[in-house]
Amino acid sequence: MSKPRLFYFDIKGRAEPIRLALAAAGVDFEFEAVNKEVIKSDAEHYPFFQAPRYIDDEVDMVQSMGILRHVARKFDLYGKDHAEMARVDEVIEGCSDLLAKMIMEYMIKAKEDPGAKDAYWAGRIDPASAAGATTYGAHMALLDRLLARSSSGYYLDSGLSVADIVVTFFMQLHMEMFSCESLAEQWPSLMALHDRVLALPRIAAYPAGPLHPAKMLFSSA
Amino acid sequence: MPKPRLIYFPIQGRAEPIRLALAAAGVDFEFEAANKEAIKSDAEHYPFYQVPRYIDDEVDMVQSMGILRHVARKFNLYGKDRVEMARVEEVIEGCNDLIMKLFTECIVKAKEDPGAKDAYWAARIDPASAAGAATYGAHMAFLDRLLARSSSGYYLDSGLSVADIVMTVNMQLHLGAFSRERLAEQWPSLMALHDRVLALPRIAAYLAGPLHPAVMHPMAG
Repeated sequence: MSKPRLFYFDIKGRAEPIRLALAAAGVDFEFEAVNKEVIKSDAEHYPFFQAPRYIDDEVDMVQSMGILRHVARKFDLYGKDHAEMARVDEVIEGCSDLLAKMIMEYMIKAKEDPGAKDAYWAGRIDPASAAGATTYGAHMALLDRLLARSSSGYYLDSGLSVADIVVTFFMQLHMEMFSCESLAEQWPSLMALHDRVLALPRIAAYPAGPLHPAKMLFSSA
Repeated sequence: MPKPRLIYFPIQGRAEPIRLALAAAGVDFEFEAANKEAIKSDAEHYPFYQVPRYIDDEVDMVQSMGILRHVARKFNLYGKDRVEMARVEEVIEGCNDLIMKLFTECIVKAKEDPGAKDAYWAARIDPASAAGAATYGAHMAFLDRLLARSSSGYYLDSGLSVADIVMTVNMQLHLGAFSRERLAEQWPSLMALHDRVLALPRIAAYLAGPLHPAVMHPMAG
């Protein structure tokens, strides 16, 4: 199998869970940076005019969470049976919901509303607000609750899956915005999962390598 | 295998793709109207304080798109190999991106902004705007483009999958806001897919039966 190829901007962004999953599976891949001009001019390969795009011996596809699920299926990071796959999907969907709120309520809103950051923390991260009626499924407490169902230290009893990888990325994203101390204090199990995943031998080598972008987002330092 | 149980509100809403998929697969299921107090107080069974919840011999799970994927895996509506599964993911993700915009930019916004519907059409449905910078992956054109890759009349060459079902629900939601004539004129292949899916014998029987709710969603006019 020739090396998979990943096309994205030169940031971690929405491709980072894919990179982490490939690293965790021990799959060497090539990365090609793209820009908006490339994407907008090639409707056949970028049918939604969006990146990431991923190519391997089976697929040439887009949609970050679709790519992640393909990588999970192909490289055995989706759990061992339907029951475990269902657990993975609950975590992926829950993370996606929270990410959507973060983008809308914090990243976009903060440009005009200086209180947006604190409001997002209070509504979506602070344990005190978990049971509130307004979370609509999007709260860090809910990801913590799912992790508590397992005894392996990962979301699945059978071990590492893309559920752990998505949540690890999610914690990294929040560590850009909020202090590590306050996140670790409020959500020690999630932070421990993050640390555990990044310390895995295959993944530990990845941040030091050339496939690892320095910036999380376009706006990151 | 005892009948699967689906727990949700007595509307089509986020459970309709699941109901249609079970119907298409010929799987008889039970519907239970969700109890709002139970959802808020039973964290074990409603870990995100949300419905739908779905129970069968393998899973007791939440997250509508997780449930849909489980049903697809179990009842052979996910394609025949990873290549086809990747196509399904592209359609599911693309449809959900557009549905989210339909609700935020059109259905909800139209309550206070009389120009919202026309603006949404111009930005997300009108073919002329497909290549525009503002689409962020959410445009009816992209879903049409993916359908054109197949020659079977469904998204997959191998036949019906949950991709077709999610697109059918997507079209139904748009039919709640725009006329059939306008939508069919711009996107005849997508409307033909919608009609084809709803005419399948098992699905037509479901639509005529007691498990199909009359109300599409809480904000349906």
